[in-house]
Amino acid sequence: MTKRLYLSLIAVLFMLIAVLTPVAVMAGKGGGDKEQKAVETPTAQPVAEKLVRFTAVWPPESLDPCCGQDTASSILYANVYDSLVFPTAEGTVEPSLAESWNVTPDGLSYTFNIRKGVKFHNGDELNAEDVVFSMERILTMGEGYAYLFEPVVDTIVQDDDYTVTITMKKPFGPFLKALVNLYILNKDEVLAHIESEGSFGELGDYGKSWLLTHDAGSGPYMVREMKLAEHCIADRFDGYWQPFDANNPDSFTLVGTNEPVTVRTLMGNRELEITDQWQSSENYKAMDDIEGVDIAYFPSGSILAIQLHNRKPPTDDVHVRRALAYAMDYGSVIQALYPGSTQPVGPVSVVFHDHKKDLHQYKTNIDMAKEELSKSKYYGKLDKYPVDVCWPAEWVAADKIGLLFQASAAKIGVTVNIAKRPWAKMIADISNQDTTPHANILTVSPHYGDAGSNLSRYHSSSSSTWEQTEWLQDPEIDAMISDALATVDAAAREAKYYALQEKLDEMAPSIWLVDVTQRHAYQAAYLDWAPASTGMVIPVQGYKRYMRHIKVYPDRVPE
Amino acid sequence: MQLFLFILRRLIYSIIVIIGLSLLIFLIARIVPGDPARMALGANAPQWLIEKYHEEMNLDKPIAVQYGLWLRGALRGEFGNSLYTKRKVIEDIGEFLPATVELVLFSGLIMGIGGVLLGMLSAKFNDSWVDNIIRVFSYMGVVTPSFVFAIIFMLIFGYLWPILPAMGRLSRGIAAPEPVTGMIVLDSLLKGNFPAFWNALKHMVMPAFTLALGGLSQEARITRSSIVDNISKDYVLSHQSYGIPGPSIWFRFLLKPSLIPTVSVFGLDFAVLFANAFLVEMVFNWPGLSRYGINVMLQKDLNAISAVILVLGVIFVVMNIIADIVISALDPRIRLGMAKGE
Repeated sequence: MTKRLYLSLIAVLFMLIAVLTPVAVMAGKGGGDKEQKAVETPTAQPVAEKLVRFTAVWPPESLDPCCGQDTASSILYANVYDSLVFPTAEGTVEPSLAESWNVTPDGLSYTFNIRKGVKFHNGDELNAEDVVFSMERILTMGEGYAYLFEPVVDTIVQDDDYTVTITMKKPFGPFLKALVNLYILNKDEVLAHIESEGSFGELGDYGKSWLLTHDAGSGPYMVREMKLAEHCIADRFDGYWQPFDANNPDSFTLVGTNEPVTVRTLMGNRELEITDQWQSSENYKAMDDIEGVDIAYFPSGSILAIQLHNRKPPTDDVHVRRALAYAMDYGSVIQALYPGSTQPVGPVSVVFHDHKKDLHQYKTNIDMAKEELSKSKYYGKLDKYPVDVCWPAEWVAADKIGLLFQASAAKIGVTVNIAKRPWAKMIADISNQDTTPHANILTVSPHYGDAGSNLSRYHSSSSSTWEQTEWLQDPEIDAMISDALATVDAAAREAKYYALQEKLDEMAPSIWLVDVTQRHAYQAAYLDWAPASTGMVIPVQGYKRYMRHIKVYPDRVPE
Repeated sequence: MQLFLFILRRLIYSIIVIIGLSLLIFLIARIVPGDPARMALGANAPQWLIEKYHEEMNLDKPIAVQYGLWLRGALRGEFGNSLYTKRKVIEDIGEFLPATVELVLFSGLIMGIGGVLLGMLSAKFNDSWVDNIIRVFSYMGVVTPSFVFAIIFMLIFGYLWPILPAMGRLSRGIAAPEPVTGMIVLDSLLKGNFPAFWNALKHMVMPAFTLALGGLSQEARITRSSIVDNISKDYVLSHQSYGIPGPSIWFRFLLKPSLIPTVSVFGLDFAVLFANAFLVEMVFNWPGLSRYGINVMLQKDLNAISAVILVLGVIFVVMNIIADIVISALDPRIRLGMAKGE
């Protein structure tokens, strides 16, 4: 018996080894990054040095600026790389790597004079060749922010070591603002790390694998450690071409989590300086009660809307759409879910300077709603046309919006059926005009700091994506959008944006619910976060956590 | 020989189960609506790029061909690239699995030792106040979801009385040991890096206890009731009548048959720890496979979903075999059944 027991135990041990050996082998290989040894997390560290630690809902995807476009990646790009121009809080751009530039009157050619003496993190000097390489790479790969350039950029040529010329396929008014998202890579360093196996011919993988966890930038911070799906740590780059303030952070850490209890605990322990923007109102309130912690409110440029299907009865009737817009209880949505936010005035966020402020606004007014409904061709037979409202099931807070919409519509006799779906299913449904529900609750964020970004989603080319479930398909709107975006002169473009906003407001293709304000809890006692303290918010993704705009005072940390 | 044949038979069954599982997860992952390429690349990605991804992921081929290609890759340990991390799925598994294995092993240890000890204690003091306290604790442990424990532990030991780190596997500034197994506690011991060992151990306490409590309570209840059942049986009474001392009866004769149901449930509970780990990993920001699994599911990352489920399936099957072997070692009746091929 004893012998059998021993044999059995040996068998168990053997099986455990069989399970754990492959794990050990794989781990021994380094889990994909052979040079990456240190595993660090921002816990239990007293605020002795000038650190900024912040959370994002998703962990950073990649350090390759030609791949990602999510919030976490955008924050990293803004801090680790430089672009030709730098966005301002006024919605314009100022010189960065490009000291100056010339645009031909027809808007078809841009010549940039590149700043001399700029060093990459490895010490190489940045020149025009790197700019050409970066643009060509993003166009070839087609990922990340490539969609901003691919439709408009024809060629990019190096005129001399410090001059490049971009020739356009067609004029694109906000091109300079879009260039904020063209981050300049060190060509030599990327080419030195190409893996032969890849889908880019002789360029192999174009350096994608290496850039997942390594940076090749010239920005104010250089990456020390990037753990995919976990965190990224970056240190101040002392060779940066612009001066640092003495109190700018020495390093920053981005952690991919938004777990409420974790975030609150870390804030209470002073192990986190800035939270993500996705915490619940209750958690913000709890964190606001922590000594030295404040809540910052920033306009994000994103518009939360109920997108109404413009080609499906009954929402194909403008009067039904307007009636639903008048019936909606905006105050309750904002109060319950978006404190600090405002109701949008039309399709463009107030954050953009070319937003038309005196536009008509659909305020809650049941009498107006009923009056509009009476003009509808469906009046008196709306019971035959129930409206399906959908939102991503993973977005729990949207349940309240859906129910409020249902209750608001009921006041004017419109039946609303709840049809929330998993995000994957919703994407599949909205890719087809026939399967797209009547109403879809979605937030669309701007791609660049210009009203054109909010407006361009109404172009037919955006139909079948979650950016436009209205299926507007209106040739007049398409022409107006194309014309406005092709206008290089800012004043003329603004006038066209105004006309477009008026037209869309009249058509009421969507119920514009919330001009979304982001909320962040932050350690106000020892952090001077310029967007929070001065209200100067750069309306471009990633730049609210630009580290050179943050100062840390470790001696002010509350006991 | 009987044991060998038994293991061989279970291994053959397991291979059939795993092949079936692979087919099932492959089909389910693909039946779920939504274009993974569109989800990964964004609303504005050009159509040619979407098609290129479809081609790379073989999504443009018939489903049977897709499965054949996937199975061929899986047998070579190649699951393709993840749309979530943009690297090979096998590299992701190599990085995230050790963190989960480490967490689950610690939880299993706590669950097994703690559950049996509490069960024995409860049975020893049957119907006393000790028994009542343990039983109440066990009921609470069984019915309370692990994330509730996570929140309570986090608030108490991470915030109000901050003696334990709130997240991650190591503190900033503590250099991790050279990876040998990928399990930091073990690796730091193997490398003699005691600061890292101590730090990693502290990080382990809250998540491991959180994960273990449900199973621990279950094991305690089962052990207790099993001992209470057996303690009044004839063979125990006869041992007592021979004058064999109490501790000997407990450890030599009573515990072994009483642990059979515990071991049986432990095997399943241990495998379930891998599945339950996702909530704990989310709350404690533990970079493990379960958290990775949830993230890839949300992004419909087909290659990664299939690989994660397959890995968890294999672990589940192996744990069941281990449990069967241990039970057979404990119970001669089961060994006899094996001999008869029952």
